[in-house]
This record gives sequence, C-alpha cells and structure tokens, in this order.
Amino acid sequence: MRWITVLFLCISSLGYAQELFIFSEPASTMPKNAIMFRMNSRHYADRSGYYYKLNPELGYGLAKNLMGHIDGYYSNWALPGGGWDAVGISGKYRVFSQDELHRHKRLALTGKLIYSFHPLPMQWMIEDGNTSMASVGIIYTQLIHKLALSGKINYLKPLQEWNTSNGEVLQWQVSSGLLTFPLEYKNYKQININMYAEYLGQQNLGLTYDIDAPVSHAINHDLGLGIQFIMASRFTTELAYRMNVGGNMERMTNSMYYFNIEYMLFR
Amino acid sequence: MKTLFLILISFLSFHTGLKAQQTTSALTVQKAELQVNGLTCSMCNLSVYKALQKVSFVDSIKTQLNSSVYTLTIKPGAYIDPSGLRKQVEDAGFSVGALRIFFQPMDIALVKDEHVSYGNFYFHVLKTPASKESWIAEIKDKKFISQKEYNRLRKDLSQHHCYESGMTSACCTQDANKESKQVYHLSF
Repeated sequence: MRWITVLFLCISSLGYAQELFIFSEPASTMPKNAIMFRMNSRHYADRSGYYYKLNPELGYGLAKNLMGHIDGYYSNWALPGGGWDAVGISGKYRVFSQDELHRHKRLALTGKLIYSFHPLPMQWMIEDGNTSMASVGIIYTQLIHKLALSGKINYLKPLQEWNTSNGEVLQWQVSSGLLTFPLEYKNYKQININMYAEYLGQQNLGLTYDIDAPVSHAINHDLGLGIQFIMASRFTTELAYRMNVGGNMERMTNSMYYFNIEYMLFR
Repeated sequence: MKTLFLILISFLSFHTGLKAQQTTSALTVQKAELQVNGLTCSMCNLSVYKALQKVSFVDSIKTQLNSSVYTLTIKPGAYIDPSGLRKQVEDAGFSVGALRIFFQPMDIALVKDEHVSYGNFYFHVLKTPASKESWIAEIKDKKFISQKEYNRLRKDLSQHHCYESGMTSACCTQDANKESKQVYHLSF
C-alpha cells in the first residue's frame, strides 16, 4: 500500500488535476442533454489464446445531476468466435456539489444492473457482463490542490445462482488523475494528455447461494495505470493496463489491456 | 359605444404606461463576463460554452480557458437574463463564480438602494459607479457569489428584504412599483 501512496503523492506534485478516470468514474455527471458514445475494449494478456471483451456504451445527461447509461457486452469468452454476453443499464445521481475556481467537491450515488446471457462463475467480480448482477455505490471526488482524488465504495450482488463460493462483494476504489499536457489551456482544439493511477480492491462478503460451499472472505487488489488523449475537447482515446497486485480471489486473468474510445456530443 | 370607448381609454392608458416603463428601463448591456466555478478540463469548459451558445440574447462568446471566464457579447436591443445564464451553467454541471455586467454609461445618476427597471425585472443598486465612463457591475445575489459572501451580505443587507427574497418589495427607497418583480443586486 505504501508505494501506492507514494505514487499518488508524486502525481499530486505536478500540473493540473483530471478526473475522467479510466477504471472507475468520478462523482461528476454529464451535462444535461449531452450524449456520450463509448466503446470500451479489454484484452486479456495471460490466457492461452486471445480473449477480448467489447463493451459499447451509450450515455445521456437526463438532468443537471442525473445521467443514465445503457451498454452491451460482446466477447469470445462464452461463445467461441464471439457473441453477445450481456446487457446493462446504469445511472448516477449527483447529490452534492461544491464548486470553486478550478476545483470542486462532489458526491454521487450510482446503481447498475447487468443481465448476462452466458454466465461464467467467478469469485473476482467486475462489471463486465460475466454474470447477472446488481450494484449500488457511492463516489466522492475532490480536487485537492493539483491532485484529482476520487473514492468509490460499491456493493455488488450476483443475481444468478452458482455452485461455487462466489457471492456478494464489497469493492473500494481510489483513483487519481493528472493533466500532463497542455501546461496552459489556450483553446478547445489543444490535445489534452492525462495520466491515471487507480487502485481497485474488493472482498467477498462470505455470503453464498450454495449453503454447502465454504464461506469465502477472499480479497483482491488491482492496480490500473492509464494514459488518455482528448482531442478537440470531444473525442477521447485511452490506453491502459490493469494488473493484480495481491489477494487470493479466483480470477479469470491477472492482467488486462484496455483500449477505449469515446465521443461526447454536446446539445 | 360606451364599452368601446372604455376599451379605447384603457388601451391608451396601458400603452402610455408601457411607454413610461420603457423610458425608465433605458439601461443597455453591451457585454458580460461570466466566471464559472468547478471547471478543471477543456471538455468541461466546452460543455459550458455549448450551453451558453444556446442562450437567445448572447451574440458571441470568447473564452479564457485558463481563468474559466466567458465574455459574452449581448445582442443589440436584447436584455440580459442573469438567471437564464446561471441555469445553463448549472445544467452543464457547474456553478457561477461571478457575473460582471458591462452597462452602456448614461447621463443619469444612479442612486444607492434604488430599484432600476430593466426588461422584465429590476436592478437594486448596492454601490453606485465610481466613474461616469465605466459602468461595470457585479451581481451579488445568491448563486452568483460564494456561499460565504452571500451569508455575509444577507446579514449586512437585512433591512432590505428584497435581497433574501429576490423580489421587489417596499424595502427600498425609490421603489414605486406595486407589482412584485424579480430584482438583482448590483455593485458597481
């Protein structure tokens, strides 16, 4: 944990803060009536054969403090050759906002539902369409001097029954972001380059559907590092790497590459 | 015939009344500077810019990205609506830090605590212009300034009920209007 703190402190000593996180999300919501198109893709590095997950996403700013998303999950995990795994719907409601010049504090509540067509049992839970699930979370984001710091606590409940020890999990995430380029904003056309370091932890709450299964309190720690390019203040590209750095959860893969693109349509 | 005569009289009196109102509201706004709080990225800046573009009385917008200040040129003959601007900023997910209004200087003397008619609302003059050449005022109402400054002003201006309510009332010296209308508080 100590070196994660050191990493955050190093980031905080440089430039401006950014909070458009890659592995988690900030407490900010989309502008009212704005539409977001996003294609997330995850590529699994340490499996025999090439596995991927595509996650197209459509977001809409329903009100100044409320946004809704629908997304789909397509992979070659369950169906060789590829196929749709799941669909999801999610929302975020910003309950608190305190703005000052170039800084803010925000608090938001989130909820997500995923329905999976081809469930794959797994102890390590990510909102990835591998199982039907419901989750609720709370996010707090703050810009402290030049550090964008965000924390999320998420409760996740699988909605399909398994004969394994998987069950409800509690997740916690700490994210930080930094604008590395430009050093000075001049116009909307400038390319923005942001760097992110995020820590993602989770623990099995020991509640399982199968009463004969051994009670699990398995824990997991992941670290995500990413770079983000924003073009014309609308088009975003992200390259990132997420790896397991500790814990004892059964998981599909120890590391993943992320490649995401996003377009924001302001209306 | 009598009814027709009455209608004509009432129409004429209404019309002249309206004319009188227009002469008192001769204030014109050339431009405004809007400082937006909470912005930390160019994408956020752009969302506010796009929201301000939709405002009917805004002619053009210049942005100073580093200081999060939007300079708005107001369409000739149009009235600025401070709440309309604030709503657009808030819908984009941010808040107003300051709104400075650049009035066309006039050959009249503004009086402290006077309610000056402007469009569909009133301006309450908290502090009069220091020079005749430059009439730049900041709106001092809630959600146009920091919560801390608002709390302080609410105490200082407790004798002016129009500050807290945002509506004209008999609290101010020059207030002759009977109808209660929205009032913004200006400090030149």
